[in-house]
Amino acid sequence: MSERPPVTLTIDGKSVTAAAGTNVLEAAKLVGIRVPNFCYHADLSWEGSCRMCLVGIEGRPKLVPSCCEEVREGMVVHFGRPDAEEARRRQLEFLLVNHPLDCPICDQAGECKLQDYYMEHGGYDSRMPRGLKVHKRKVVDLGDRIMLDKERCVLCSRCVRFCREVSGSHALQFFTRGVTTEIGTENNQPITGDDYIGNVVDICPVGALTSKDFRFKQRVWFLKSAESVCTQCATGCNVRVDHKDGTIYRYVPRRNEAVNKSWMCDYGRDSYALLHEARVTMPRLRLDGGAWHDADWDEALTVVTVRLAEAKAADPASIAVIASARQSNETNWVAARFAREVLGTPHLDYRVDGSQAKTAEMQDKLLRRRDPHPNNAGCAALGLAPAAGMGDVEAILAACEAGKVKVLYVLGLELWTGRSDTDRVARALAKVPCVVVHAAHALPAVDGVAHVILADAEVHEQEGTFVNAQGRVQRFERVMPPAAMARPAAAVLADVAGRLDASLPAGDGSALFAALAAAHPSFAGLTWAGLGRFGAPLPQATPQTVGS
Amino acid sequence: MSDTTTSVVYTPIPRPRTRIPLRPEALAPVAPPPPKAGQTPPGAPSSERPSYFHTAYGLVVTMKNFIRSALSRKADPTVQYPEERRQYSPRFRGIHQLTKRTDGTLKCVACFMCSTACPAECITIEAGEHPNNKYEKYPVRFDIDMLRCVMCGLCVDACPEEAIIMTQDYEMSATSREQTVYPIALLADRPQLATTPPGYRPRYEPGETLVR
Repeated sequence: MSERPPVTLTIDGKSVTAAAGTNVLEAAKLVGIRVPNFCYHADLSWEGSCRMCLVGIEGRPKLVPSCCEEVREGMVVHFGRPDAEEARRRQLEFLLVNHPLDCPICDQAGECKLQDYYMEHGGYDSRMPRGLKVHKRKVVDLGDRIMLDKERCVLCSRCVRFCREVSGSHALQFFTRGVTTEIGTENNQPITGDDYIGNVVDICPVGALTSKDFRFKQRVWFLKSAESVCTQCATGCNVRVDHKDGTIYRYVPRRNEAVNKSWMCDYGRDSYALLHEARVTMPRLRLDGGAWHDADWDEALTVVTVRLAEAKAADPASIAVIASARQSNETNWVAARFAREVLGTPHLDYRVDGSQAKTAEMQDKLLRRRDPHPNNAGCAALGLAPAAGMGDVEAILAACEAGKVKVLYVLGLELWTGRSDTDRVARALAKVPCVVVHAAHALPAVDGVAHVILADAEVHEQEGTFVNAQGRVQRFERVMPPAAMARPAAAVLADVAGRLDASLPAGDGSALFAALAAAHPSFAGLTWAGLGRFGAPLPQATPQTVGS
Repeated sequence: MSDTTTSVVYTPIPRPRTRIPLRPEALAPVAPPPPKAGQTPPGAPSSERPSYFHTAYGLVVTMKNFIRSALSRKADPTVQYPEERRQYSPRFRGIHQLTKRTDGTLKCVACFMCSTACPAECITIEAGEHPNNKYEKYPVRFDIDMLRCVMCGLCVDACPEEAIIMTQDYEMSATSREQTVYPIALLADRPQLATTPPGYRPRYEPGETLVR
């Protein structure tokens, strides 16, 4: 399709040039006309079942659905023609004939296309007597994720097409005919074995399919949104984070044609809950075998600084720094400079759990990858991996076990959560006199070996960038301020460097990214604004990171 | 006598039509304007003789009301609270009430319309799955913070189910802040509801029964 030349058409008197193969509805978007539609979805096949996008086209005797009409050269389209407007209004009235109008208890209210289009294109008085509506089953439990209300459905078939074309589960189907047509599963059985079924809630334009996880938690008009990236695998699906009063309520996938289309997996969708779990909200100290106690930042960083200064004066190689594939490029870059320039140690690595080798491997056929971390590719691009046999994680652990490491400075918890040989880690770290950990979540295994735990900001509490498996640099926004006294690791590292009479770049994610792009060849030429909402590929994507 | 002392007609001070924005300089103390030529400066002793007639007239009015209310209970404006209670309008906006369906369940479907409309943000709702599938959604928690509430009645206007109305109950004294947050138990089932008539409920239609 793409080799055909673009075509020029006229929509409501405005001239548009659109790529051949697109439909009139998408072409209208280019001139700012939002054609109402229920069944059309950019990442699904064209169906034309809802008839909400009817437009007049010169030379055609009847109104045609613009979502199923491919653009042609010289086409003259009338969106705002009175007969087209009237047809859309009457079609909306038909769709609402049997709608239960239970907006007060419907989770979709506030982001419902029926509501929006009624205000925009409807505005008529209902002619349907109350008792004559056709009733269907409500509150149909379709497994762990989905609640179905058959009455609210407008039969747009988006969910049916999603199950057929994208997830391949064929879980949702149409049943019966005529006015009693309804969406459902075979015998109303719960849906199992579809790891992407959560997406049907997002694509449902009305309240027929709602999320059981989000059910009745909040009304959507109270929620504030920020744009972020899912951190549960190396794909880096673009998400919108919906939150209120310091609590995240849901992830909704953001459309990014280059990465995740409009989808995300259910595992990633649920991961918002992990962000709030067992947070470390204050720096904690355990001095000379004593008990843990909460500290303020000044006390904690004084301890860290003194231990680092002592070890550095004795032998810089007795310090080891472990970066993290769950931290942003900016944090890892600051950590690398902290290790190499401030401390002067050769022991720096991020490959804690071997996940970096699996970055390109897909776990399923759609989005999810075997690498559970969002930024292994970024760490590789930053050059955090030392040459083989030179101070990698295994060498660091061996040195710890031999008692050669005096201070171990760890970002993140993957050393404890990602490895199968937990005994060996515990044994090796027990020999280290000072283990400093930047941790956002409490973990008993860490409490057993660490001496200083620095409360780290979670990904939603700072801004920065990740590099996904395709080598695409993607921004994530700061959704909310850090919990209690937690601080982003990059800021803490700069603070410690300052106490060691050195200097590291400090600032928020955008400032650090500008410094990173100016200093590091892998990121040369990229700008924070240039990354935009959808990211940009690394100037030269390293071959090992490019996915299948 | 000059004009100012003979005038007994109360003339209201004309209010400015436009709203005057509050500026920092407006808050600063303003020096009194200098007295005009031929006028007594404010605060200076008056050179005029006092009028005893008006004092006596005022005393007559006072004595007339005193004697009238002493002779007749009907003319006495004092309400002997708490033995006696003032009758308020049926549209009085007193403490809220959560109404019930005929089967005794709360009418409220936890749609959050009232808390969305509330200008004082005093309504806290948590929604839950109703054990009866027919009703689907109901409030697990419904609190009104009476200290924040401004008794405007917008929640009643916003309610699509007539689930929240106001009553003529106005006694909400409490000995702690916690007691001023009314949960469902107080909003729907407080004993005062048996004795106080309903207040503001704009959706009421004559003949309608109110389940309380």
